[in-house]
Amino acid sequence: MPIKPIDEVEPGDVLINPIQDSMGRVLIQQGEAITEQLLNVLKRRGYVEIDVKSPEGSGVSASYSQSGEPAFSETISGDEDVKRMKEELESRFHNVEDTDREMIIVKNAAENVLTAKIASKKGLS
Amino acid sequence: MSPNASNLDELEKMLGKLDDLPTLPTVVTQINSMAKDPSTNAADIGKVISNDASLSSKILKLVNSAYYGFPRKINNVTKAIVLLGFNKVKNIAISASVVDAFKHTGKIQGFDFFEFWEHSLATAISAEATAKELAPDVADDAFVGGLLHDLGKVVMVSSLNDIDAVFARARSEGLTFQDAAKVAFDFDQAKIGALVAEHWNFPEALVRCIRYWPYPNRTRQHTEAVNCIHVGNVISSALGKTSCGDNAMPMIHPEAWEALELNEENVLKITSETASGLDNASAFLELAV
Repeated sequence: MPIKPIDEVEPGDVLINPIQDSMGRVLIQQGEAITEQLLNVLKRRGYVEIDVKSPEGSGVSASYSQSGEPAFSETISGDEDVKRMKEELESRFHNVEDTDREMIIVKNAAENVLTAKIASKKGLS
Repeated sequence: MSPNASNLDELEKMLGKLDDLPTLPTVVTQINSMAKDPSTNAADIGKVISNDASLSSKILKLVNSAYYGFPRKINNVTKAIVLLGFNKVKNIAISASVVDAFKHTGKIQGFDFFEFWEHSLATAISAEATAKELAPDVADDAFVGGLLHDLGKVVMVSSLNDIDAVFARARSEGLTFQDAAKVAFDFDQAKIGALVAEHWNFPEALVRCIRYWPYPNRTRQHTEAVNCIHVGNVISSALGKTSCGDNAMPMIHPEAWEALELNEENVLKITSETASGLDNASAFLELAV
């Protein structure tokens, strides 16, 4: 994996893995392009290296077929992202009971929106 | 739990610290006063804000950001006021000044200001999205109230010796910071935040939003904005922008749910709007850097 020292990361580089904080919460999703300001934020937060590919690089995007359909490995990876997101959601909502109707509606909405976001990122890779 | 001597000591200590708070730029006080004068026009306010070059440049950066999505560049504060309205520009000025005052808090005892600000921003966007959908008249108040709803937490973190124990209790017992703080001190960030907001002469609606967002059933004034911030805090947390120190989901109060007439359809729409708003809000995040 092309792990780059933070000083060598350039705006436009794309994250291969999500960036998480010390508590394991996802701060920036994988597939997101690094902007200059994000780079400043990461440096300020003490990140020394991150897992990125250059936009024209052969990383994740190279595994897409000519037709634009995601390759098999990418489909698996997308499923894994959704699975991980659902696990995070379960953990976050640990104090919510099945009878908390309002909170279950909020949880379902968050799951729908985050799933769509993962799907959209995968489609754009 | 009733307050004991030790809790009162802590509260007194917090009140004593109010005088040590960072000062906000004079321009913020000026524009708050001008807001009360109906004869003030955009040019007058623009002139006052423009005297503070640093604040003006922050305001222009934000109003020109993707979040507001204007097709052409807004190159002066007066034009920003005409296009966005005085209330919105005033709220941006207050928010930018507060972040500036506290951003050097940095990491204190495990508290990360950037994480704090991310949650605050997500709550602001979600509160605004809730208001736009269900109470459009209070959209601006909901945004700024959301942005500053946890203000008291920064002051508590930088002033209280026992704050580590609050973070530890929240972690070990799976609580929100607020619930853990109430057990430890019998007061929370909402109470302290409102004291700070009053100390800084913030508009009454904003003070009330900061005081009552966790308890929407305890106020009969500015209830729509308070309800929107209450909901915004939950939705931002649901999307993973949890409040620093929270180890449980904050719960939606049934009274707020009913008052806003929330349902599956509008909650999904608000959640979706919040996520897209966050995608365009990097200029606000940059304020904390």
